[in-house]
Amino acid sequence: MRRTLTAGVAAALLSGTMSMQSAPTAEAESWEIDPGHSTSLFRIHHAGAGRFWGRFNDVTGSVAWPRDDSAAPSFDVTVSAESIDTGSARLDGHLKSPDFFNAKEFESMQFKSAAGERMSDGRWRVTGDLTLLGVTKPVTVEVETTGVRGSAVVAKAGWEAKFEINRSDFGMNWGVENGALSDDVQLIVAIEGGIEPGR
Amino acid sequence: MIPVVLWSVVIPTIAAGAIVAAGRWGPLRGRACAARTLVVVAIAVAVVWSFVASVGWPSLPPAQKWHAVPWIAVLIGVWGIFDTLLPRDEWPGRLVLAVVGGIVVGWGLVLPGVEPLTVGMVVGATGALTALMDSRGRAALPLGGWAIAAALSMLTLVAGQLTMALLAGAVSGTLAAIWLVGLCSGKCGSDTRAGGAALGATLAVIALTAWSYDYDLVPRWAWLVVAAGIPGACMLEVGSLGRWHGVLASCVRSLVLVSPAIAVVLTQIEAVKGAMRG
Repeated sequence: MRRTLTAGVAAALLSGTMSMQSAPTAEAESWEIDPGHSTSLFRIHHAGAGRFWGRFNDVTGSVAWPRDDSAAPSFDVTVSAESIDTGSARLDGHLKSPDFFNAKEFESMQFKSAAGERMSDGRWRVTGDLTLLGVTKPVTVEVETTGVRGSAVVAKAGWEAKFEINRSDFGMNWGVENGALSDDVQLIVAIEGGIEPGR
Repeated sequence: MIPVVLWSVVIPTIAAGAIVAAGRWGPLRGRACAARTLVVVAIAVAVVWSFVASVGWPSLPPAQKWHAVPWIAVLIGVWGIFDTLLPRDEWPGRLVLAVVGGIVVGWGLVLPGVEPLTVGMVVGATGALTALMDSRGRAALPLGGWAIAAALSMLTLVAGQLTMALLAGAVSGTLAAIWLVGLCSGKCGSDTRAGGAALGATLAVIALTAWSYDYDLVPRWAWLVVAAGIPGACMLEVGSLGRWHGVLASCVRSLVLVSPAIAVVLTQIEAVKGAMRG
């Protein structure tokens, strides 16, 4: 019994140390993002009334993560601005226009992790740089590991990241001052990554 | 939407109209050259004011390519002022200015998917054509310019580019103000100047910018046809037609200028209504 307690205390201490330093104990594997099973949603307050949802269908990149979750996932994610989808071609065209995502000039948005801190089991607070409209700003993302399945050779893992930005920080100012559209935008990025032989 | 239109179209139009009116009734009254110059200044002020009200002060170098538009409007203003200072029949000088203006705008306005040569040629040619018409003091040009700018504003709205729609709206309002001031100052506006090269070059810059960022929400032909009245009306300045004066001549020139713009809007009317509802 005493041995078990000691082991438990040691594990807790070790866990605390890991939480502070995010030091990987297992080697991180590289998970290639599966665009077919990954998506990015955004939510914005329209005219001070309804909350409007849209999505980006093309999410690519990779995640470095040890599948024992001993270290924070490290994201290198690219979201194509051209893949915006609101269900209305006219609205899509407007959001791709220079007033918003300026997709002809800035084809994609990128997020690159810099560090991670464990919040609880399977939950991480990841900080990194978000590049939007050519402007790079640090953001903090709350990430949940939603699952991992497979063998050492073929496997899939999933994460869901939630964060909020002020779009004016990136030079996307349309409608902020007059309240036509809110400055704050909530984003949810759901990612599935895979490991396959030969990669 | 009403505050946006107020700050980005109505107030710039009022400011531009006041500048034009100052050239007619202010201390510079009677100085034709000053009045012509103030019209050019009014167009540039309308564009810059509308941009600042919509987007904010433009950075230098521009943070995004299209943010160069207000800076280009200022450069076109300088070109337009030199243009208005030239004597009426100083054609070699006007052409040189159009070539230099086209080169400067082609260099300064980098648009996605559009060659700088194309930008320079379109802006230079349109500026030269409106300079030709304006040097004859045609009342049709402010009216035609108003209609073209208004149609351009509607097309850019359909293309989902609100800022460019507001800029075109401010130019349209300015042209309406120029026309009204011309009418109020007598001669049925026959001596009204519409900004010469600055008018055509500014409209071309707005049209090219909107077209380059469009996701085929507006048919390609519509961008070409909307300003087709300008070269069309210039044909009425060639040879003996150029000496055709009077009310009928003004009506025909006005019709040639505004017809393509009206036709384009009518073919796109459902899209325009949809964009205005959104």
